[in-house]
Amino acid sequence: MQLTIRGLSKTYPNGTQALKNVDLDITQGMFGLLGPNGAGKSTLMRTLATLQDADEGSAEMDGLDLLNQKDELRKILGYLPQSFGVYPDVNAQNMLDHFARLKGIHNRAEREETVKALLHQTNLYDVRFRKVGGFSGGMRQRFGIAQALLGNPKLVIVDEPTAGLDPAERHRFHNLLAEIGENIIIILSTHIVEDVSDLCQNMAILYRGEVIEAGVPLDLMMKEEGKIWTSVIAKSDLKKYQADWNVISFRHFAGKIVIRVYHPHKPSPAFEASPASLEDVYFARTLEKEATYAKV
Amino acid sequence: MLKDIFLFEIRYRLQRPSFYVYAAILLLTGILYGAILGGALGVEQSQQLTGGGQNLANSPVNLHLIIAAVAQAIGTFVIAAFMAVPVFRDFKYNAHSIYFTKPINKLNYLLGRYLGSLVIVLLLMLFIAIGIILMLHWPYEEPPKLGPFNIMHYLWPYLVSVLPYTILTGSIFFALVSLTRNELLIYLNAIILLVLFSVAAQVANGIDNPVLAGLIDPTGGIGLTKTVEFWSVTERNTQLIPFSPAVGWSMLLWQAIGLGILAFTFFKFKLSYAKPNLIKGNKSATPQSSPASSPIEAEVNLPVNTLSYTLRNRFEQLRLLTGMEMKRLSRSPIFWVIIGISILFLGIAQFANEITQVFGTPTLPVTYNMIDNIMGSMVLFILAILIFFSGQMIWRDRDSKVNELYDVMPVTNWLSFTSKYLSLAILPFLILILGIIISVIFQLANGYTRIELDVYIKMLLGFRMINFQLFLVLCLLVQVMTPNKYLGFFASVILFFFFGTILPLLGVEERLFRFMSGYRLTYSDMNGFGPFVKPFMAYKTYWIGFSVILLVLANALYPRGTEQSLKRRFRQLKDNFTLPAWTASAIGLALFIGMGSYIFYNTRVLNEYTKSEENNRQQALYEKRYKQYENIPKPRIIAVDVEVDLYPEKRDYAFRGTYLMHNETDQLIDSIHIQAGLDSGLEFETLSLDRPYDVVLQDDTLSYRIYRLQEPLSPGDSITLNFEADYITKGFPASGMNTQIVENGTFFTSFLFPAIGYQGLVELGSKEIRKKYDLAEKPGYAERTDTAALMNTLFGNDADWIDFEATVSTSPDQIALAPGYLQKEWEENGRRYFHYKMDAPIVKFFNISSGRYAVMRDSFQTPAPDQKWVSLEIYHHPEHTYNLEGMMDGMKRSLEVFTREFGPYQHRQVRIIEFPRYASYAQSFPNTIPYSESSGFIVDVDEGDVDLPLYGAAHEIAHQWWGHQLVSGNAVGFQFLIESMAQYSSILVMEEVLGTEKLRDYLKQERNNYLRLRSSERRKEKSLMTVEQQFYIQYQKGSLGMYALMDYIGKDTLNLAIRRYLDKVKFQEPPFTTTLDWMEEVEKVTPDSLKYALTDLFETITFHENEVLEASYKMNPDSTYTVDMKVLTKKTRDDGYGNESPADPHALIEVGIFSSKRVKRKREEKTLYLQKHWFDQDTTNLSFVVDDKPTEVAIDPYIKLIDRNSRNNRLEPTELGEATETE
Repeated sequence: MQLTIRGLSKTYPNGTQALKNVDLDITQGMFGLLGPNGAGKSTLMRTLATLQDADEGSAEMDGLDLLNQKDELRKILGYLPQSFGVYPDVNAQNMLDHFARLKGIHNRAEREETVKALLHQTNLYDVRFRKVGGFSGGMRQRFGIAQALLGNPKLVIVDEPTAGLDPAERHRFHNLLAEIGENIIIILSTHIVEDVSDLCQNMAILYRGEVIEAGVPLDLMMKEEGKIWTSVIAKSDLKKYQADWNVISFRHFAGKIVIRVYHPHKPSPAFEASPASLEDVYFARTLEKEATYAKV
Repeated sequence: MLKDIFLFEIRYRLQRPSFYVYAAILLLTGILYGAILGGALGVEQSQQLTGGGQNLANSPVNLHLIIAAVAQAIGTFVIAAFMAVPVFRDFKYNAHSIYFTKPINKLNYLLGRYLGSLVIVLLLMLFIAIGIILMLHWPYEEPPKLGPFNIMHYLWPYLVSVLPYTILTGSIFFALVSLTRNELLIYLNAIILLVLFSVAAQVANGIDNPVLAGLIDPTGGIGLTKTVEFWSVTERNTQLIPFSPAVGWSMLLWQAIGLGILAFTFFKFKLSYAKPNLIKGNKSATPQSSPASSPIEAEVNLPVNTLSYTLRNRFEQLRLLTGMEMKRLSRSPIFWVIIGISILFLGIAQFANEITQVFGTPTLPVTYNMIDNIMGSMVLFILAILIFFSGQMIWRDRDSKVNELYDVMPVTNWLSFTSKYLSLAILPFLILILGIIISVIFQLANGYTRIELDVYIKMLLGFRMINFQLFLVLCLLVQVMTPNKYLGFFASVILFFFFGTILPLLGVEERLFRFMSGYRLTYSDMNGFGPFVKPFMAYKTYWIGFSVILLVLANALYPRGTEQSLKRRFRQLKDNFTLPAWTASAIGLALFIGMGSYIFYNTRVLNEYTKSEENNRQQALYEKRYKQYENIPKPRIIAVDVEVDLYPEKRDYAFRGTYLMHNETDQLIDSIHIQAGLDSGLEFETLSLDRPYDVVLQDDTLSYRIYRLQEPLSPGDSITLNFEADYITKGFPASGMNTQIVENGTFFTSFLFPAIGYQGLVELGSKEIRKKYDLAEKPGYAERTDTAALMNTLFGNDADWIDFEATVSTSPDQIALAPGYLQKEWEENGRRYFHYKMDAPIVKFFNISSGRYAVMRDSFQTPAPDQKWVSLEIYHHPEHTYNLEGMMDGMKRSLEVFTREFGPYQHRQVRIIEFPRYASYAQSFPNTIPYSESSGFIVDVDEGDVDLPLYGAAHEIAHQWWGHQLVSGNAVGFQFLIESMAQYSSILVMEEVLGTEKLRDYLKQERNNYLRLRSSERRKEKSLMTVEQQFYIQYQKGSLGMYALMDYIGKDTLNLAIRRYLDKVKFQEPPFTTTLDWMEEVEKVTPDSLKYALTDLFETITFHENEVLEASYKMNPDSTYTVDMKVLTKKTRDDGYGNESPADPHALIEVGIFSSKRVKRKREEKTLYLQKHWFDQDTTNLSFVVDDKPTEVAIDPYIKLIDRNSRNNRLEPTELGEATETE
């Protein structure tokens, strides 16, 4: 299974260019789409989920033209929007059953079985008679994934699914995705680097509508191996270091500041080598890109 | 701080575009009304608003009523938009947590916001007046009739009506939305409030007591109209509407309620995050926590699903979605509010009808009346609901953000839109079914058991349902296209008014251009849906075709996905037009064009299409061309013999006949002018004379012909006109469906038959319209001394007394009728024939009727000396048996009274014939009285009501004397001799049958109607003796004048004079009598001292202002009571144009003293003193000694004189303490 995106562009009526000539190749398994807020992740996700049209470009999956054969795509699509509402007065089971019918599962027994399995899978079985409107954020999110998995989708798109989940729920959620993601394509958009590094076989970084990096997370980290340096400095020195070195991130630690610097070799004796994390890759690439904008 | 908040609110509002949008809308509305008033859209239109005639376009009363009405109809939405949100806004934009944590004071915060909005709304409302002023004073080529500009005329309505209305409704909106913090309630409230107000106004309108009526109407509108109800044109043109008790008390009550609501809001409102608890024990919804985490199964095993997308599946999905939408609808509290309100309205509608009816006699709850009541009260409400819910439905998925879940489902586009459409389409069905249930319960509760479920279902769930469905489609399309639902609501309302009100006002009469418009559908018990079904359905199908296209368009534009700009959706329109969409629109287009052509063919090709303007033009042309022939010598028709063939099923008829004409002039007549078939659709195949003649002129457009006789007709010589005409019903016309020839209940009159010479009846009447066609103002009726005019009767200028004979054929199951006695009845060729012949000369005024009748027969012997047997027959719809006895009795009592008082009845039979309710009157032809099914046959006569069947029968039978024995000359006052005398005659019968007290109720109605109707006089109000076809004078004032005279000189004296008069003039040859002759006889029997009353009642317009100013009593030692009173007895005269001047107060007026007490919950009045007294001054002191303790002192207690304020005629006297002997 292969999803190929070529030259996808989108400009909103207010002039914002949300996608710039995006090329992506996505294969079976989990695919992480990383990027800061406003990078165009949601635009890309919604475009792939038939909710929006691109100005230019194509997206194709196993011979299916995703941008034009919307009805066909919807039959194999599972989509969890970034935020969504529910009708407050319907219980989880009925609501899921309702969606199952819309999805095209007309056989009653089959539908009941599916709904039951999904409720179990998302750990909502015990609360299946409760109104969805009364669900907490996490439960609602799980309900969202349950409806997205109806009808054995081949392409599942989940937009920022872990926002607002507590750590345990997030963990459970990841497990579920990982399990089902083996045989299908799951595209997960997030701005949390860990989500990607934990889960995804493939990934891309989207920044200001452009793909600035794509590949296997481990490969990307390996590529930066030996270029990440860290040092503990006084708070007052931060400005100076930022001016002198390419500081990609810093954090407070015991009254001091730990900075991470991207540099081809050891910048000074005060620095120590550090293994590259995906976060480093993310920051390094986005800062790099930001710098090109600053120059222009 | 209050000032800051107040000013902030105003500044904020002035910066928002919505202020300017609403200002523009109100300005445009003002401009529209101003333009209509100013005559920019034509005289006809402006007359509708001003009343025409002497009324000024800018009369203060007019301006007040218009400004108040606009401020209510359109202004309510403005008030809702501005007064509801000032506090809610903070919650909506989550500014409240910032605001409420600032050190502000609740009262200042609320009051500042409230007052700021109030000022803004009033500012906006001023634009109505600005628009009107602008257009009234526009430099027209032909300026409207204007009084001097007076700014107070415009500001006063704001003070008296707009400001109080804004405070009341504004407080309600402010309270509801601020306390519930629910925005949805805003517009729904506005709609519900408007409907509630209109129901209140409807109820109030039927209530006599102006103060009580005013109190019921929260808008104050009824108070206003009741205050000016009896005003003359001059008063309307010059005076501001004062703070009358009706206006004042209503304002006091409703302002108190408004301010109370405001105070409650201030008290209940909390500067807090949480909603105030309006209802105790209200649970707030807190999110439920997730259940204890259970370990996740490591293995994920989801069943493999089979997905299928067959058409059958699609329809299952449609059912599912529709069911879901409906379930959702039924769970919303607003839905139940609406159902509750519907039940309330429906109940009120049926109940209100019972308390507001003609002469205090309720109509039986026949099904079509129930239906009319339902539709009358529910139409606007249902339309409002459709507007509201279509906005809700279209926007709900997006508002509650479930759209992204739904939009990615493999559901075809049409499913989601169609499911919404279907679930809404059911709403009006629900409400009207509710209406049917309530109506049936009402019918049963009233003991009425003829429940016609089929009529209910056909009418409400069939015919009348279509418009709701059409409107729904329009609303949905509007909501799909507008960027938010509030704009959608507004656009829907505007469109409704555009098609329903504005286009016709702009002169677009063609229904094919006005969405939803079409034929009226009147259901008649006799004739069912009659001839209306075909045209009704043609127009509806035409619009259904159009709506299908709209529906497909709405479906194609229905937003799916997250990008919803209309521009984008239009670009994608092509993609959404799939094959089924094309097919559906092709079908829609085919229906639209097909039915459009069919309608066009029917209204333009088969039938002549005439706009009302075109009619006017023809009338003007007729006058211009042929008026010159009005007074040429003509022969008189002396015998009429007609054969009429009616084909009720096909709605065709044909007639042939002869007029035998006689030259009664002393000149040679060289040509005969014939007016035949104008505007009637009749084709005259034959129109020939029995002597050689040449056709000099044949004008087929105006149906006028001139035949020159080759040999002139000498005086005393006779000539015969042969005529033969066909009427074929072809399809249906654009308007004016012929309801004279119908399947069951045909009724038409001699006006369809040829007339000889120019017919003045055709001429245009309205001064303004005549001016448009360069015609001078139409002179009124001739003076009573105009001997030429008196040569003709009111029935026309071509005959006096005729011999009459008619043969009418009809379908075998029907009975056909014409005046005269049945000579022979036979069947031939599957048709039924009736031959009628009159045994004595009659006026040339006859009718042809036919229907499937049941007949009730009886006979009656008139009292001595005549002692003639009269056969009495009622031809009625078999199911209308409710009032037959009453009618029959009315006929007998009338014949008895009239033969006794006025002289013998000239015929040997009286027949009442029912006809369908396409018209609601009764009319008296020689020994034959067609009577509408809607008036006499279905009234519900209870003990103690004024008896309408009796009154109706009496009035029409009286015409056998007044109109068929006496025939007045064609001069002013002739309608007094016909109608006022018939009114008086029926009063005589009512007094004998019902008693004086019921008669007083009737006279009270007559007085109120006279006073109300005279204010819409367009020309000059004439006196009774000189009345010129002014209904309120000849009927209402006629009753009042005759009853007062009878009371003054005594019934026997008056009837003696009347009888002498009738004996002198009955069956008279020209010249015919006038009111001068009548007055001469009456004067002979009137004592000199009362001659002033004849002048007051019959020759002038005189008003009495009688009032008890002060009254007191004290008990005397001998247990008698001395009553002292001071009374006002003023008289004023009106010059006919509303200018009143004081008159000599000399008058004989009744003084009464009463003691009343309640006996078994009924007031019993005992008369202690009742005498007529002479008065010669405006105020007089009187003193009486009576035997019992007085509770009421009165001047003219029974209001026998015309007094505009009759409530102050009675006064409860104050007790002065016991008189002691030492005094």
